[in-house]
Amino acid sequence: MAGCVEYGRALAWQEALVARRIAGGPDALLLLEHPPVYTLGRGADPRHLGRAAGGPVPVWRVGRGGEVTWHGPGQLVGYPVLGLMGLRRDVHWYLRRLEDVLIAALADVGVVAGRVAGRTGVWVAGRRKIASIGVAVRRWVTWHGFALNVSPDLSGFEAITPCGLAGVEMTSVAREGGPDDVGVVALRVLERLVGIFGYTGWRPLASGAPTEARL
Amino acid sequence: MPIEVTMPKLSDTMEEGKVLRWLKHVGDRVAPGDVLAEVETDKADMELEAYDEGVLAELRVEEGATVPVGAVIAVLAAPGEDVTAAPGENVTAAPAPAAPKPPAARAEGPRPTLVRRAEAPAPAAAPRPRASPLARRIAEEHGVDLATITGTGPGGRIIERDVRAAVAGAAAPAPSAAAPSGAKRIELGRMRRTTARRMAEAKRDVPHFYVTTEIAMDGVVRLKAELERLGGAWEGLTYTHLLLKATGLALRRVPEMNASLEGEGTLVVHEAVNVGLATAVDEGLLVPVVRACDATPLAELVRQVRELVERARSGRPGPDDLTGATFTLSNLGMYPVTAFAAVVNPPQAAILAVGAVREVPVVREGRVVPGAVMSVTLSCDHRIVDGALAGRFLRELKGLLEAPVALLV
Repeated sequence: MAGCVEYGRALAWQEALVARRIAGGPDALLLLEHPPVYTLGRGADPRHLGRAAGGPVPVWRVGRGGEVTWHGPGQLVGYPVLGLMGLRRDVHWYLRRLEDVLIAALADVGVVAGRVAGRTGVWVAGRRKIASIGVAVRRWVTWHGFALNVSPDLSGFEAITPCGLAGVEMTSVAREGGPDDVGVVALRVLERLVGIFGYTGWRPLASGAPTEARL
Repeated sequence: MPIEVTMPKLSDTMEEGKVLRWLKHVGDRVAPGDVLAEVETDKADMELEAYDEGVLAELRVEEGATVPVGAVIAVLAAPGEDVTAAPGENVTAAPAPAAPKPPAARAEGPRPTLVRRAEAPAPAAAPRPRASPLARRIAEEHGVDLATITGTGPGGRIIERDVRAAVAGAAAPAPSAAAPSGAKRIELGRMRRTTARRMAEAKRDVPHFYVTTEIAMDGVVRLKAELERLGGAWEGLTYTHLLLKATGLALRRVPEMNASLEGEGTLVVHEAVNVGLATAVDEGLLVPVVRACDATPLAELVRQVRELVERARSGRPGPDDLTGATFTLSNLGMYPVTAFAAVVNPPQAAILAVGAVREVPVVREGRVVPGAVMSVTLSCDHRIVDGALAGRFLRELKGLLEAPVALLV
């Protein structure tokens, strides 16, 4: 499984994959972790950064949907670069399918989770948030994606108002009794993504890169 | 004529969207494909691209505002068009709009610098079809009457690709008048006439020669059946996809076949392997181009070709769909065709014509057994291809199809 990839480098990687897809290349998926970083969606309210603003942890504002969130080691970050024109030109459908992928993968590792209508993401018992989703679409090619807490230090979330939702408890696979190995969960996510989106399989690309599956 | 940019419908279940950020400002020139804004729905941020060319005349919605799908969020004017003129008049001599103001004054909301009067009913005698300035220009260049085109742009507006499709498409064949001999007369459409002209030129100018081989297709037949059983992305897999992939790989291995003649003395060996796929459509023959056939994974090719052929058949080829081919494939295998020789598509070096896969007696290890066989004929331009080169290419192609696991890259 991938190591820690600095946020800016992962962004550049995605840009290249998006451009490649637009030019007719294959769909791809990046699965990795980030060193601690806060990110805000384009429309995010900067007040939700709270105490994190001006702190030592870098903050990025990026062209994805959604509010503010934290990434860090122990959290599985996934960036699917998929051509929706070859699947279905419907961004809500895409978001729901991503939720399905994560819910199924979590079930595979023994964590029961589901969605909450109106609150995109994946929730345990309808109130503890275990995965966040925030995507971008360029010419019907997706990028950015999801962040699934496997075994991160959840204190990174304490400074901010995650996803702009006050009083939300963040949780993780490990907290919910599942495995704490990001790689194990990553593989389940990959397999579920392949199955739910109807790919025939996947193939890793360039070695030395973050785990990049060409779908 | 001013063009309205509206909040797009990005999902069946989308009812409203938020304008997150304007990337263009009033007064900026806009070309088709330029990103005007980022709009958000649910947790998805979509780059909103312009369909048309023009100058951004007005931003109707502030950053951060949410509007219903279909609401007008910006207005484009044709370059030089004075938006203060009554609709129906294109005052091309008018000076450019006054000093552009970026929508930075959030407190008051964006101030249009031009007053629109496009709401007023058009005083023109005949209603002008709504079309983008670019579409209008292309229509004029090709002598196409806009009134005969159905627009697929926002609000039913005629946009560039509608005109391009009409140019490539046929005029409706005239109903046959009863000729004395009882023959039926069909007016050839534009596409058919263009094809006719090019075919005659090709046969006249290109010194053709033809090389045939037969390929044992048992491996491919088996592979195709196995992949089809997997379903998913392999649904709709056809021999054409496998042939495209094999052709792409063979061209990568024999690059002098992926070449064109430039003028009289220069051979251009292309970097990309883009194979045109001869496709029958209602109006005649179109050759949509499958790019990077060698490098594209087979499953992805299935998807690409499906989209490409759908666009071609529905009369709406994309702007790059019909250009850039370095080689052509023509497959008549869906008919009981044993073999045929196609016409080279200049300036390409060659074209591959493929017949049906047939069960015939073959000789294996000294015995006569049933086998699946397909005949292919390569038609070549003898100015740039010799027999030996043709032979090498066919050897590679045959090798790939007879050990087809190689096609799964």
